[in-house]
Amino acid sequence: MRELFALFEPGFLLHNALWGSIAVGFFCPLIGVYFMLRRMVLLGVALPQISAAGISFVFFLQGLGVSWSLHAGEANDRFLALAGSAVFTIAAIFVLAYFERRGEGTSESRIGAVYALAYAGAILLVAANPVGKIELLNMLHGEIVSVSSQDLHVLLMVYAFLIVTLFLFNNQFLLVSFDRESARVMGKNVAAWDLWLYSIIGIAISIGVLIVGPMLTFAFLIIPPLAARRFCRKMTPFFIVSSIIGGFSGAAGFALSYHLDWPLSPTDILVASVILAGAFLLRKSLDARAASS
Amino acid sequence: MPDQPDTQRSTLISLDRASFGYQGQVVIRDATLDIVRGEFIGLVGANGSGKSTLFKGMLGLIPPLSGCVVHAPEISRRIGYVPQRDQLDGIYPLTAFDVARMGPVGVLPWFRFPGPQITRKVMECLEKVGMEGYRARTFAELSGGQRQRVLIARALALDPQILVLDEPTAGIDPVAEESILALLSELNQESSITILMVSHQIQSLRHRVRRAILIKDHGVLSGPAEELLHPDRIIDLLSVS
Repeated sequence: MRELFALFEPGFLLHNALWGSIAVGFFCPLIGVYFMLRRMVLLGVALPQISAAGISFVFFLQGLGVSWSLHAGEANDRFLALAGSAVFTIAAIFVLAYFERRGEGTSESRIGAVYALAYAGAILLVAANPVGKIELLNMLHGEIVSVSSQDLHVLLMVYAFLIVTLFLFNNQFLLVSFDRESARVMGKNVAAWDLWLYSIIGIAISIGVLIVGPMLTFAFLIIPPLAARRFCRKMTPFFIVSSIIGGFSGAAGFALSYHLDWPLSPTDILVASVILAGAFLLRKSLDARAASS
Repeated sequence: MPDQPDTQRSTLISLDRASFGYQGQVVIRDATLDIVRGEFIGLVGANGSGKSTLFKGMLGLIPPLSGCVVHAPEISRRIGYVPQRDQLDGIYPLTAFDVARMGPVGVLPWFRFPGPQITRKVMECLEKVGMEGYRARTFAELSGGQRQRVLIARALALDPQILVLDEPTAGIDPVAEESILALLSELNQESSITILMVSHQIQSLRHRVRRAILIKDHGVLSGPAEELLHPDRIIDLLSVS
């Protein structure tokens, strides 16, 4: 137990990585709730991959000699990666929203095609990059171990801003998600509210992918809300419980990964999945008990 | 109602030779009609005749291809819209109270937080539709008729000039259907709320509404419900030519 608490001490070597992992785990489920309620889980898989393709693209350009230098050394690389990731993610959301409004084809097929393209694109752009590939591959899998204090502060500030935004606009986001037609009759610009929500989602995913990689970002978006929905009958507890499960998975996964020397992302996903399985079994047992009494 | 003053007989929604459709295809052609304050109107038509298109056009959800739709200034953001309850996904963890609260909260500007007066108003409206005892129940757990009542409460919480309902009695049992129609009649007569509803249940509608709007061959007919929805006439009117 003492060893567990030692992880949270400021002097711990991977202090920033631990808090980064918890912060992503804590925040991603808040937007994952909307993915689940809007039945956009597939988009939750595609967007982190698109974000990764954005990172590859920026470094591909850098390899060709097209670059921008706003910070020194590694900080500049991370800034460029974040910019590429955010631009690709938000652009993809807007393009998908445009086709959704035109109503051509099914949204699943569009998202599936974009996911496949992003997956292939990310790999091909790394392969075609004339400069180093190992570092870039690390970045595509999330560089949680190398998160600096500055990165952590930026992450926490951006997530704090996004949490306040989600809280302020929660009623509007909920109305346009639950009952779009009524929202329009009430005078809401549904498309504008959608784009605002998607922008928040895009920023959150871009940062999440950079810190923990696309797979863990997707898992944090989807698994905690799935577990929380088994027990929550109101929206506020649904948000809070999802977020706590995500944050806990981030912390417990990190501790397990550190002590067992397992890779971080799969360990975090394993912890979240165990919680999901536990929630499923507990719900079944409570329902069976209620039915028999 | 010839003795009522003009303010009470005012037109709330007016269509002047309005055509509606999608991607240039006309579904409703040259519809001209007025929805006057205090009316109880049923909108009927065969499946696929364009009821939803006309309905959406009247609400301003789709723009007219030609002609015009005019809403009286007093109904701006005061249209109590009741969608088909099956359009609303049961995956959302929302109680009956949460759903009813979405009405008044939805018309608040984003920077204003809902205060206790909204809670009071929502409770009043749930009570008015007989759902105050179900306020903490999850919306998805309610029966079709109960969900319909909650949606009517949500619309009433806007203090609407007009209630607009899309198939409120579709897929619910005859007892619940009758009680919903009775509730709507009561709201129309006692609270003077104008009601426009789309329905398939022509015979039950005939004895409740005063005026019917009927869609046939892309055109719109309007007249007294007893006459237009009479069994002898309705089969002829609804048959596809």
